[in-house]
Amino acid sequence: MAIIVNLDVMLARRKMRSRELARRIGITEQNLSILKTGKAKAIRLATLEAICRHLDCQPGDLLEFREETNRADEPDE
Amino acid sequence: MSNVGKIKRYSRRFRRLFQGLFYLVPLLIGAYWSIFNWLPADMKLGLLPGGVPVSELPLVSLALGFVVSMVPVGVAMLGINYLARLFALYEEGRIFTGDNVRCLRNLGKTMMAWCAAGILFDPLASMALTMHHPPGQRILTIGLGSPDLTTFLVGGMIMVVAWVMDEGRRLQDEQNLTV
Repeated sequence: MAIIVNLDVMLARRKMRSRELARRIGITEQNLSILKTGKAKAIRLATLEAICRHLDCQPGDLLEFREETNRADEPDE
Repeated sequence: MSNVGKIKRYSRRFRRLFQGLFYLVPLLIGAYWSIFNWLPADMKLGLLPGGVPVSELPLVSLALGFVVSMVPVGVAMLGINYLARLFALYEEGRIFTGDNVRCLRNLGKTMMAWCAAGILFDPLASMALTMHHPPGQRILTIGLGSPDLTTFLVGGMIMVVAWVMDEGRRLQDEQNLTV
């Protein structure tokens, strides 16, 4: 996935644990983990809004586009 | 009751039904051939074309008749097994998974194979039932009927349903990975 979610970085900056953030924004820790580990295929705007509100940041602080050099990991269609 | 609740409840019943049929069908076939010579004539109709009556069979022909019957029945048992597995998955609440897609795809292929097995049954059964007759009175039949074509078409439709369910699986996977 070319979109990188820098949630770990923002959590470290705000000195907040994943569990605490998950509880505050109303999602499970497992779902937050899916986001942190880059396995998420999509994020709802409502979730992004909630993360930005509770981490006091902008969407651009969380999301980064990095062009993929190796496309071998893309799933077959 | 929610949809998922209904799916689980009725799937449990179907799973039990198909698991029972999986063992019952070969037993019934075995019982049929073991008491074949004592059956009334109308229970032997249709085994040979044109209403040709089936005479009393020697043991070898009875055994061959059972083996030949197990060709389409064996394929049917495979299909019954896939149905039992499919409903077992639904009973667990697993609806759009890769296992469900594989079961449906295999079921479709089995239906098509059942059509072929049914076509193969006619010549094999006619030989088995008349091989003890004197030369000139033995029968070999081969045929293709609308039930065979219907079975083949239903198998094809189930394959399409399997592809539809695979799309459902993709959407479910995407939904699961949407935060």
